[in-house]
Amino acid sequence: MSSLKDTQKDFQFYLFERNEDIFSRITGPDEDFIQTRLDVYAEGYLIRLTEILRMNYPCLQRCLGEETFVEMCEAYIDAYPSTNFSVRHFGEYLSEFLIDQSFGKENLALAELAKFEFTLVSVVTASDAKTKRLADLAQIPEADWAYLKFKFHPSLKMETFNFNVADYVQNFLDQELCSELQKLKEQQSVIFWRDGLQTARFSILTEAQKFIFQSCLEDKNFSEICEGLSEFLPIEKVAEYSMNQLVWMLNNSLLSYCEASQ
Amino acid sequence: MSLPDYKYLGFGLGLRPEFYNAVIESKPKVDWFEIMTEDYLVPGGRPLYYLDQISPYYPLVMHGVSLSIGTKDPLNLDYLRQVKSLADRINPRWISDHLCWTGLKGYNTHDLLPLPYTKEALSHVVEKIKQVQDFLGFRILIENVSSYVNFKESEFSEWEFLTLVAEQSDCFILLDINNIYVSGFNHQFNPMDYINHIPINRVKQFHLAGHTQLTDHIIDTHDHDIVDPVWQLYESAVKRFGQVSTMIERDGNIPPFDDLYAELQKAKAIAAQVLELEIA
Repeated sequence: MSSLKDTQKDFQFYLFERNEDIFSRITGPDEDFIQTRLDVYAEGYLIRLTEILRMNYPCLQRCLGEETFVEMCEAYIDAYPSTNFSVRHFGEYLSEFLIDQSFGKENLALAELAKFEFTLVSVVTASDAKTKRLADLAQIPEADWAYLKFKFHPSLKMETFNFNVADYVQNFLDQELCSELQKLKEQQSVIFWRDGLQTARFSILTEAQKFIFQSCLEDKNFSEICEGLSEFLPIEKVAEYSMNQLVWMLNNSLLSYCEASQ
Repeated sequence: MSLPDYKYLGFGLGLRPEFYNAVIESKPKVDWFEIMTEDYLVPGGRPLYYLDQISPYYPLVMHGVSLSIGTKDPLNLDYLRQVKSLADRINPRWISDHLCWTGLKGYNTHDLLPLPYTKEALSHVVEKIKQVQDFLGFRILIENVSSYVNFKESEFSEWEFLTLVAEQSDCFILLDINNIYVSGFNHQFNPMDYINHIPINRVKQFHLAGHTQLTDHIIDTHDHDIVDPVWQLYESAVKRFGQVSTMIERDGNIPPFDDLYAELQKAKAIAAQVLELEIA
């Protein structure tokens, strides 16, 4: 008699590889019957995981077309079977997987598109935190402003891209004709975050904005940030620019901490 | 969390995201809601926000799909810790999962895979349930799954196996009436043999659901209305088990809330008729 582990190993092997070793353990009048019944599980496995990818990668699906997208899904499911109880994590290696694959388009562009879409999805269930409002800023004494430090909402992520995937996704969301995926002349930094309960948002950063975000992440204070901004802007514009950026961050639910810390 | 008392809850529905606003705004006369545990094992965002809004107004029970009680892999303690943490947050009336396995060697097929009903599987599952109950500090409910294959090595019928699991591990049973019907059709057994064998005092919840009928087998899809033969089986189950907390599972092709509510009233009417109760 086979052990439970052997039975489970053979059963799973059928789901993953259609290996027929499990057939001899299943009751049924003939092999067709057994295969039909086992295929309820095997096909369900593929359909379920393909649907997850379809849901999380709508731009990639549009970019590849239905037939190639399904082919890609099957190859990914084969290469990276799910290991997490939550299907939310299932696509996390798709970008890495696409780097070495050929699905009729520039593989590095597809990998970046997958990275972009997964990041966008992942902010939706990030941790919660109360965000600061403009009114909170008004409470801060003028003398403390130089020492202000900032912390972002836990959902915030900053990523860099070499292809125009941000514009590509924006066109998709705006239901406009998608541009072609193209390599950018210069690398692009993009922030992703959740606004409110479930709205995933992103924004392409200018070099000055990138400096501000990086500085905040490095725990620099407002005075140090303004000083550093002078490398990107004429000195007389720094104060106005930094205030505008701060207001923009507050208005977009990006800051969860904004207090003086010497 | 306070320890479950497993008391009768009445008639419930699955708390689906589609219903969040309707539930919060109109507080429908549903006795309780069942949540899909895994939907709420997230750091933050919409699901937990709505759960916190709804939990003060309705009894909740947690229904999981990832315990994988039958796998030969060790228990996933990280998953269990998250389940316990969610239970501490919402105080569910009980926690349930399935008599199945979902993957081996760390893989997860995201499906409720069938077990061979052997002595080895029995002692393995019983030991695992005891570990889970020790970890949580209370008894869980285990649900019968629908299945499409039988194993030659099985030494028990499914109902014998489920009964032995419940009695030896001292857990309770979530009896899915639709799953009994589906598996009865797929494996050519009489669903009443199943119903009549399950010990009355172990059953704390019923599931009702729809399915997809194919030519020579049925797939448990939870995306249709409940069919008449399942309603008839439910009536028989109420006759045998008496007043048991009952809910309707609907995971796909989700109709408007009022339609599901009407289906729930039908369950209530059947139970009332069998038990000769007045419908509230």
